[in-house]
Amino acid sequence: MKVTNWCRKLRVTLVAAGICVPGVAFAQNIPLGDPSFEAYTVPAIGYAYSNEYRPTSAWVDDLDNPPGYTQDDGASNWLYNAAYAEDDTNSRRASPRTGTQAMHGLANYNAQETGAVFEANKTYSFTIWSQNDEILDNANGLFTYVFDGTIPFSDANALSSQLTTDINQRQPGMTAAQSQANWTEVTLRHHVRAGAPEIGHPVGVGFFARRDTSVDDASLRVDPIENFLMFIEVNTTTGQVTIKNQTGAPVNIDYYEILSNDGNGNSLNATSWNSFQDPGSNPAGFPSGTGVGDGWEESGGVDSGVLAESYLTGSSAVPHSTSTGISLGAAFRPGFAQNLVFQYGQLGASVNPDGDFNADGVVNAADYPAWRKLDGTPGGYDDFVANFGASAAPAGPSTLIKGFVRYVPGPGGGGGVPEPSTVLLVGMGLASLALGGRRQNNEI
Amino acid sequence: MKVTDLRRKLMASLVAGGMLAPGAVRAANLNENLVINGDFESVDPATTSAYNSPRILNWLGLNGFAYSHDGSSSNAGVVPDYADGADPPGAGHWYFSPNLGTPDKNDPGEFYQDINVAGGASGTAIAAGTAGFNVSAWMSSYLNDGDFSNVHLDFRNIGGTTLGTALLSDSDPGPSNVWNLNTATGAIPIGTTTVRLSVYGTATAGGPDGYTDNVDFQVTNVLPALSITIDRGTGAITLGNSTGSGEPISGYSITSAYEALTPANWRSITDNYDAGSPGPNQVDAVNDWSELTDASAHGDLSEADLESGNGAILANNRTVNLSAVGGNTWIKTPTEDLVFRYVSGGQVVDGVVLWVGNSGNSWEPGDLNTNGVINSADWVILRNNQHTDMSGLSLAEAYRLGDLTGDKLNNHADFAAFKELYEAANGGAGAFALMLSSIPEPSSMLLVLTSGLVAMPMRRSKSRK
Repeated sequence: MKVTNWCRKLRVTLVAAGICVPGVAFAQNIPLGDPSFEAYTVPAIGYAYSNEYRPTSAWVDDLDNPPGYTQDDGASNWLYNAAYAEDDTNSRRASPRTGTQAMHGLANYNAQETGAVFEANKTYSFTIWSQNDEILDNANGLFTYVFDGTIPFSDANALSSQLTTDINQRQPGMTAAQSQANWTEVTLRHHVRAGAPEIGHPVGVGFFARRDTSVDDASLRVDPIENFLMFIEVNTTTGQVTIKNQTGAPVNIDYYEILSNDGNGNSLNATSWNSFQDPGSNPAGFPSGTGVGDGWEESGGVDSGVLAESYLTGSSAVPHSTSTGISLGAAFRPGFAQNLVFQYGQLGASVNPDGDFNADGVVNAADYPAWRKLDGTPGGYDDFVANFGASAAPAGPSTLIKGFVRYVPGPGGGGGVPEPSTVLLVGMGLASLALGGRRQNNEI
Repeated sequence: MKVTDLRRKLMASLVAGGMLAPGAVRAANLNENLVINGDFESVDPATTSAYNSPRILNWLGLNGFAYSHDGSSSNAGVVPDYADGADPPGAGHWYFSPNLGTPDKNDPGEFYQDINVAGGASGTAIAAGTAGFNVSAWMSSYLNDGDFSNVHLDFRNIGGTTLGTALLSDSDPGPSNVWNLNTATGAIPIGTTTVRLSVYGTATAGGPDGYTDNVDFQVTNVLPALSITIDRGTGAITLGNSTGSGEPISGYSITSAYEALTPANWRSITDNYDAGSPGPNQVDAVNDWSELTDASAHGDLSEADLESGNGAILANNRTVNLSAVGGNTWIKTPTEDLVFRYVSGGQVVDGVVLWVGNSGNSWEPGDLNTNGVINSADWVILRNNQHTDMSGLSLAEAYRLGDLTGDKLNNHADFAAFKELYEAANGGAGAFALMLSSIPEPSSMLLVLTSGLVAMPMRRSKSRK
């Protein structure tokens, strides 16, 4: 617990010092065309449709969707400037976040292909800021997309997409400056695992803005995939399999599975797999079940095609570590096909129990004065009594996350490519120096 | 605690003894109209809505108001007649309009009465699985518009859970909608204690101007068709005739989209009760029947007299056991989807499907071994079958081995679903954290003891001051 806290604090310090932006070692921005919707200057009327802003702006109206659609015909999301945002006192638009212009939705797509290509083991984060109109008289919301530039863009064949509706509204009476500070950051991530079909293809990004929603300031960043997903490291010589969490925070899980060829393969070794059910060398917080769901227990169907286990009545935290991981023994059969998929059931952030009125994650005597001060209701008191002694627990049910698999050659073997962990360690070393000796005793 | 238990037991025995049925006003007799003020003649002339319409008495939910067939008056004045067609026989003065009074009566449960059928002869017939119902009402609408009237029946058990519903709607909606008698019959589910009868209108333009008069609901001791009764506890299926008279049957099918039937556990007429199978329980002494079922599948049990097509006549009150010893002809799961049809006199008839056992409740999702509780025994079943090959199983079979999501796989999705059900049944997600955190670890127990020892002298020293 303390180690985790320390780790998080260190990260915060590092980030603040600019030494460690998560994934800084490999993070890079991919430039977008017309990222802030300033390339084309709207005429005096204050707004312009795609028949005007194209081709000056890189944001192509509707790109390839639907088939046969005529691009740049004017029926499009529209650019507007700061003056126009304030123009209609009864229904003001979001004041441009930066510069003097932003894009307003008209239930249409805008998309563009970048000069970059997808690379394996990277995560592409498309970020765009968003704000809703002062008057919500139509639909509001924003779809964002990452797509493969070699495949005609459409909602259906996007590589990743999401709908965001939790977007700040320009509240009635807000000044332009207040609206400028009122934008919501929307980020869509797309993970490219080794062997993904889009590798080598141009990266495309796009959005679909509903009629009460504006966007501004798009950006696209690429990071190492391990900043976001857990993975298993598979030693192809020894067969050792290790779960690694380098996401920067503990990951709470109650389930994981390793599949070979979608469960039909034979690259796994169920016999030498050191499951959590096997009590041997379990890390802290990973109890072995006794058959009734009180700890980790293996699936009945494990074989050379699938290894899986789950924890019915609880969950376990995989700590962040750039150096070590959790060993699952020699679960891979050296020489067999490298066709593994690793997935895990991740729980949500910890939720404080009812009755925890001082919000310290546990219901105890200290919550009684807090109840009197903050709540005072009989129902609140009942919660306090009913949950006395309860502590915060990660929120279920778990979501199945597809992690990734990294194959490494045998002991001592290493490629010429430095592992991201090494670089991070260098950063952390610097930080420890800066922080003084007090923290040096701690391990990550 | 004990008092509560005692009270509950007392309640249960009173209910069982028919002495205390919740809300009972009288034992429900068979073959008589159980709707109070179903002709809407009892009104309160002093309480009125639009068009001087008086409020109808004895019904529950929203206030309902009446138009008048004959220009009768409330205290507010003369009430008009907007219904199309000649007045029904015994029309009286008043009829119900769902768009009088605010809000409109557009749905079941808005203007209704709860008819207690738990006691008396109706209760006996329902318990025996021989209770049918007849419902009828006269219906019309405003001039030539398409609005229409509905009578909705909601069969509820003692816990208020809906066991089945029935709907009677005007059969001549549209321009030619005049006062006409609409009727329906059906079976009352076993376990029903209350029938919530609602009257409402369905609007096609503007307000719901579907008018209703002379609502009649009766419980009968006959079913409208042959029935099958499925015992949730054993999975046994019984064919029965409670129609009040002999009923021809020359073939039948029992189907399940959930693949919950096991032909291997089926005692067919073909093999047991037809001309080739003489004995006291013989159904058809003349014809040989043929099984039409794919013995390796789980979707249906079907057989027929293909020889003559005449079949046999199943005598009134006759039952035929369609299950082999050991039952499980129906695979026990929460999904109760059996459909029973039979051929009678050359016509296909929708049969009655009755479910009994497990105290009138379907099995809880997650109770994989159907023993009434969701516990570690169910977990063991799910876990032992996690990631096993279920492609050769039926949906119902796969469910019993942990496939809660109906995809013939037992994987993370089923685990997550089961975990939620397990937590809900065993005290919620917090319960485990609570349980675990409230079991003192040896070290912390020691701490408690130590702190106790330290605290005591301190208190003593304080008191000395």
